[in-house]
Amino acid sequence: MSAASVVELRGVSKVYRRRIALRDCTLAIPPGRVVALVGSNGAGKSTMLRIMAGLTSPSSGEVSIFGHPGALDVASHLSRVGYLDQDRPLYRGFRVSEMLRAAARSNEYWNDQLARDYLAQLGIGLEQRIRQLSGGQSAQVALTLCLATEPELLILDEPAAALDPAARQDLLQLLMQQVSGGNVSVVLSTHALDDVVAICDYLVVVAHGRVVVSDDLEFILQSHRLMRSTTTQDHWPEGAVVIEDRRGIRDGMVLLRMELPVTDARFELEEPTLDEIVLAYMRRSTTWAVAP
Amino acid sequence: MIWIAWRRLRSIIIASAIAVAIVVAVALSTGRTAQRLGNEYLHAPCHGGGWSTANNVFCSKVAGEYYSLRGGQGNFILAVIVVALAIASVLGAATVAAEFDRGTVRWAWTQSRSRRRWWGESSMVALAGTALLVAPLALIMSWWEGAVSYGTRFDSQVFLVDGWILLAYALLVTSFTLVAGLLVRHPGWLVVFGILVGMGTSYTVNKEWRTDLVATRTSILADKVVNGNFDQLPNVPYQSDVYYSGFRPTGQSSIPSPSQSTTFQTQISTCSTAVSKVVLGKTPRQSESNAQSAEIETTCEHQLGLQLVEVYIPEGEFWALQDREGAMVLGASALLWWSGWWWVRRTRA
Repeated sequence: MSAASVVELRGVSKVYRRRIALRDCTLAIPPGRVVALVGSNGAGKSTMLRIMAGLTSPSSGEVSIFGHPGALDVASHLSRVGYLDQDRPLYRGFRVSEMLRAAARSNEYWNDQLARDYLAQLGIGLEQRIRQLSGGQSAQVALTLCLATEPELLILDEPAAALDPAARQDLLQLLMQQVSGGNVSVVLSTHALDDVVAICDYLVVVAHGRVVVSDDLEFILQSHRLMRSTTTQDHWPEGAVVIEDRRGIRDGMVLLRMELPVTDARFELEEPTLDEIVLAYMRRSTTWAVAP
Repeated sequence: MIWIAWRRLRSIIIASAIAVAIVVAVALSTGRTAQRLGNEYLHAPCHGGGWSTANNVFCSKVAGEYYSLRGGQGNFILAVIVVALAIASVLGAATVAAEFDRGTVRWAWTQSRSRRRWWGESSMVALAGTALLVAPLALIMSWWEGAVSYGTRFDSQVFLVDGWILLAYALLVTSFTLVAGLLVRHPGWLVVFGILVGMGTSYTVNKEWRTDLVATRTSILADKVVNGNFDQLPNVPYQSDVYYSGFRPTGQSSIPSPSQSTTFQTQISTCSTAVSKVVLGKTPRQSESNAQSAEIETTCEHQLGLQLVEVYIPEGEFWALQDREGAMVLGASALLWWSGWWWVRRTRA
């Protein structure tokens, strides 16, 4: 485990009454990265983010943020982390200005001018009531509240979910504006792989409560190859690991993870898209789901 | 966090303040009317019932209105108790359970304030709101009870609205709903549950513990029986809280159980019948004079080693009882609050 990691999970499991949400997850997220956490619904992404945010404790295993293991519910830790819940909970009876005031009073550091600038940029009036905002505007206000504390680590649970394309664009732009302006690490969960390619540089795939991939996005794209084959061949390029074999199924593709450069010209290899890689890992892990 | 809690509870506090103002207005109005009718009824020309035929119409009307007003007091007192406990319950549930219900706790707990600080500051606003809203109810009802003069102050309902005990129970309910909100997380149900817990606790304390909180007095009623006047209790001061009246073995200080009490009563009756046959040579006992009957019963008491007693709390102990019960209830509230302070770091959002 690297001391330089922003977030480290070591053997983390989370069991709710009759459901295992996370199984033995180990993960180390380097600083200054925009990390995408992807996976199917119910894969355990939100649970993992809530554990990182200190909202819930793991049933077993260890979590450390900024190299400090143990209780995450302490002011010194909370002031360095910004968390956006997938439900974007805001006090519905408040005005936007009152939400800003609430955030200012709840945080050791608060950049009020930054918050006002962001809201002005998004066209959200300070006197509007939260309950009168659209879903997209609520998400933008919630993200603004996170960003104005200027945290070192931003944990965002599906920040752009259910937003129309314009609102989604605005929200991601706001996020990138913040990321480009300082040394901030971001962990965000999403189902939109386009967003991952557009703004993230590190990928974590979670399936059935397990971390199945965790690496630099560029490296992941470069280290996987698709091989088309209609034969029943069972030999692959040297150093290749079969991630998914779909021969006999409609597209007849094999996804390989390459651990060595391919020098043999007999193999016709293509670059897979991120969708193909992620889906292959998610499908592959379904066989694990039945394991205890 | 204090400002946030206040802002969140502001509309509830304003609505509750309006409800309190209505109760205060009704109490003032009915209390002053009761005072006026009481004066008219007790003084000339009605003289508390001994009026002349010439004043029959006026005094009958005054008496009718006076007793009608007193008769409706029970419902008003109950309504005030429910209002006070409902305010307390709503404030507690809105502070914690509603945060979980609407998910805003996930915002509150991820700002740079610890959960314990969130708990401490939010709960203090709820408890202060309860105190400020219920204190006027306790004050006005203490005056109102004196004005209307409904029964003894130890009556379970009257005791709850007289003095400051209502405030203590309201704070208990707020503390309970604050803590229960960490687990139940459904404010609607919790409000109802909180009111029931408040009423149930006061009922239980009244039934089981209240008489243990202050020293009781015992009146031995041998003289009364000899005098044959069963309607007066000369040794028990007016407005005292009599909670046992019956036979018990001479020299015993504890209160007999209901079944023991029945047994002693049966023994005295059996003995009296037997003695009556021997002494007077006739039955039934209804033919005895009061004096004869009393004498026979006294004989039986001596034979059986029993004495007729009344155990009571004198009216003068009212405030001592209020203070002790209030302290007990506030202690329970503090314990509940502390359990929430301990638990809040161990629960999940």
